[in-house]
Amino acid sequence: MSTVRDTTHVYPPRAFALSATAIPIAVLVQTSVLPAVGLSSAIPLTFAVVCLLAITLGPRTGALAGFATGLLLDLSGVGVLGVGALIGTVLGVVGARIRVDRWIWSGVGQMWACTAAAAGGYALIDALLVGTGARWSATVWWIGAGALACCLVLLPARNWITRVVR
Amino acid sequence: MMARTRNTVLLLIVASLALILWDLRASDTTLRTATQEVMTPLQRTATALFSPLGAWARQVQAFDDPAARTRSAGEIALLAPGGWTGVAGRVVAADITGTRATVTIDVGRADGLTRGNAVLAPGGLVGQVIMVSASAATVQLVTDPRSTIGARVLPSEEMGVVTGAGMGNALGLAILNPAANVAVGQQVVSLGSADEVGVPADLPLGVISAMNPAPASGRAAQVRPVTSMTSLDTVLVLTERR
Repeated sequence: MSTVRDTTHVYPPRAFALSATAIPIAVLVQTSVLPAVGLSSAIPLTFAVVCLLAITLGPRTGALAGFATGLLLDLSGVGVLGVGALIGTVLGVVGARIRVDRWIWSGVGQMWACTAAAAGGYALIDALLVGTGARWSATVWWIGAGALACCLVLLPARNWITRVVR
Repeated sequence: MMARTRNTVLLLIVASLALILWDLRASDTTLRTATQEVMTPLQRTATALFSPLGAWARQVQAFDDPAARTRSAGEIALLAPGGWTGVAGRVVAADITGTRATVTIDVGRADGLTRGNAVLAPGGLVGQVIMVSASAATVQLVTDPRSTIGARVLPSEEMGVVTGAGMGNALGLAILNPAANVAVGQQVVSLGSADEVGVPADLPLGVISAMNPAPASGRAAQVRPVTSMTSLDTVLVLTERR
């Protein structure tokens, strides 16, 4: 039942417009809306969006979207510039390898693993570079549960994205 | 097609590594302050739209605790210690994880803020300004693992250093005197610098919640912060001493 992703019908300007809209909105929601409603900005919504774009648009667009998303996260915060961009680029390539079939939540486990690993890696590398060491007590829960929630909510939008970018 | 993808990915990875090296060497905040200028109006709008939902959730959570409710800028201004002027700002974005604890507020250089200003919430000191743009500023919270603040324990007046330990963890307190007489429940306040620039003296930082039992570590304790750092709304930035 597994199907190979077909990115030959992706219309690049539409893919660019979609990514350019989705990425700032995702960063805004993660950094402002989630804390405003009492949730944590550690929920990796932006990385889940990158993974979704990679699944539907392929590794090249995924890597570009991941780089842009990570860079925007880096610039919005106080971490080391470039760490988010690097993690986002790798996530875009790895996320594009996730195989999905017709079931709306097909691939959710792999998408969750990629998203959570990217968020954990982002925090860990940043902490190691600055020399603070990571404190994981509450963060692990927010990253794990938050990534799963994001994947479950976003993954059904896969078919809609495919139609939009044709 | 495959080669094109591979080249793009390699280029992006090289660009990321170059950015990391540049940032570690230069620590230039120009790009960040420019991004802050663009993002802050959007973040302010998003926060204004969604914070009523958060305030409602917090009231449901602590329905009988007036201190947990959202305060107006007028009420916040009363927190300024004697002789200091302050500017009220609203938290519009947060970056609070296990390795970072910063928030963005919607006041900046145009309001008189400078790097190092103390930031107060109801209860006491919550952080210091570490980056300022024209209309916004980034505040490093006391729970940030990179935060270190000189402190005194009351009533013994013993000096120490309070460090952050990330989201969900108590602050760490290293007491300079190994024979200090300190105990659980005692208040910890800021030490303040001699010329009182930046963080004034005697601002509450928290209450000692546990003593470190390990004898090898000397006198060390855990400190419960004055307020929950994940539910900050309006804060007061101490800009200058009158």
